[in-house]
Amino acid sequence: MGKISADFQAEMRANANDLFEVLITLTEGYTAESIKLEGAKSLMKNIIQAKLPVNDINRIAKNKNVVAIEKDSSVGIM
Amino acid sequence: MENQYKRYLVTYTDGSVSTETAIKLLEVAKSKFKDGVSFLESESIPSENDVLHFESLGISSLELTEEEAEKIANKDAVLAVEEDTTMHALSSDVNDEDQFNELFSNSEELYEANDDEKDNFIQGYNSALLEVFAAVLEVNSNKHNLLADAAFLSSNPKMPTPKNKPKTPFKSTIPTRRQPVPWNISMVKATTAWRRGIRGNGIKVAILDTGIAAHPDLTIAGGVSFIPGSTSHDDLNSHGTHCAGIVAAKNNFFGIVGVAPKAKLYAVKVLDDNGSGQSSWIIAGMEWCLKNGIKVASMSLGGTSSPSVAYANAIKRCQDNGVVVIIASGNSYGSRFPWVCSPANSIINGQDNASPMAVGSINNLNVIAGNSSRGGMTAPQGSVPWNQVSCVAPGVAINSTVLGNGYGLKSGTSMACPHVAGLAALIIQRYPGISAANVIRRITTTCSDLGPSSYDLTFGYGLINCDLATR
Repeated sequence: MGKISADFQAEMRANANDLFEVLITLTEGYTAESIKLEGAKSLMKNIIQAKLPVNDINRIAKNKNVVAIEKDSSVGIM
Repeated sequence: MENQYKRYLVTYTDGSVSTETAIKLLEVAKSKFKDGVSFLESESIPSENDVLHFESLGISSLELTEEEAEKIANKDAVLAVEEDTTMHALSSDVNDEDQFNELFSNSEELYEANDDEKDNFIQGYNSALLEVFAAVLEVNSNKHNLLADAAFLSSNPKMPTPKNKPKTPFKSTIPTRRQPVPWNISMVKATTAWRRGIRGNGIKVAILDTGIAAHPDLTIAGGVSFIPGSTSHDDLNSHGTHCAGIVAAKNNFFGIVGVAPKAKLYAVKVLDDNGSGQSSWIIAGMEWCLKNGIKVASMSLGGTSSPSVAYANAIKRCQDNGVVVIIASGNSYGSRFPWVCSPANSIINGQDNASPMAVGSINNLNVIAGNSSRGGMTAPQGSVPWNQVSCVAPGVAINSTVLGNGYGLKSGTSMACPHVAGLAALIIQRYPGISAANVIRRITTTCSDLGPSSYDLTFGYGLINCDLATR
């Protein structure tokens, strides 16, 4: 699997002008500062959350320290 | 609460407790202590200040307020504190076979002894003795015989049934105050672990859920909210409060009791009052657990998504740092997404700590709940990058704490999950310093097998067993 799942890529293509809330996982040892992303919120040392346009998502995905970019999905009680 | 004094019977965990030890435990002046046997033999009536101590039986009788009784009951060295309430004269000679048969068969504790546990049996035996002494305190007739019989029993602690059984029917009409033990707690054999002093003492368990509401059966040690715009970890939904009760409702004579009644509960509110949340809130809650010394994260939540890299990393970080992560497998079986839900399905190939315990749900007959999520989607290349069900626990019609100081039934893998979280707390108390990986290993290797093979995609390794896992 690439850094962005096929499903998410398809969703971004279909809604190219939208902003997406995403979770960005970085290589162990790298922090939010290392990808210089304004407005990002650090959740754990190597996991950050941000609301980004499609272009920014694709740009960040090219950073070698980015492991994955995923939608900040909804969860609920089981 | 009214400060009304009532006479209570305090049974110590150790079979015999010296007067000096009892004085320290009860925090009562030595001058008030009387040797119980001598006192009763002199046919004296205890005054409100008298503390009757039966050293060889490990029982004291004294007057307390309810608050004081509860405080004493929470001490590790104390097995039970029971109110010595209304009693009726024994209607016939205690030296009769059936009297003793009834005495034992009426005991709730002895009922538990039916699961072939020696400890349970002795517990039942102790309980029966307790009732004998409750009677002694109020009934002057037959007093001497009762004491003699009790002494006989005391000297034979491993022989619960007297060889020379008395004959006359004995109907114990002494109402005692015992903690009702829900079927699900018995089913996972938590009570057997408690009798060995394993109750999750002081282990910090976080409930990542809708918060926890104040409830007389729960003690909330702390908490936090990650819901935007909300700073309170109070629960207005009831789901989190229900899960909290399954983990650690108190052992206190009323309501229910949790798997680890002495664990410390933390309310980490990551789901809003409608029971919904975002993955980012949950990962933030997991980070809070890491920073606040939490040992077990109980997560009765999820969504129908494929395994997430972010969750797998968050879980790995938690478990690498001593926070065991337990997650409900999901309630999606029979839907278009029957597999284990996210984040329970998290995995990184070759890194065990990136996967949580994924918990499925069974009913009281060991039958899998119809909607309990199971299995995982097979990747095109044939591998299975999907965490599977690790084990199962009771999750159908579970009675636990709800809003408004009440109790209610709920079903789902959400209810199964906190049973396993409670077990993790018991294991961590039993084996201080144990790694998260080894907690998981102990849980899975001690499960009672269910399903077609030792491991299968529906039941995982089977039903958790708190007794075996803490031995």
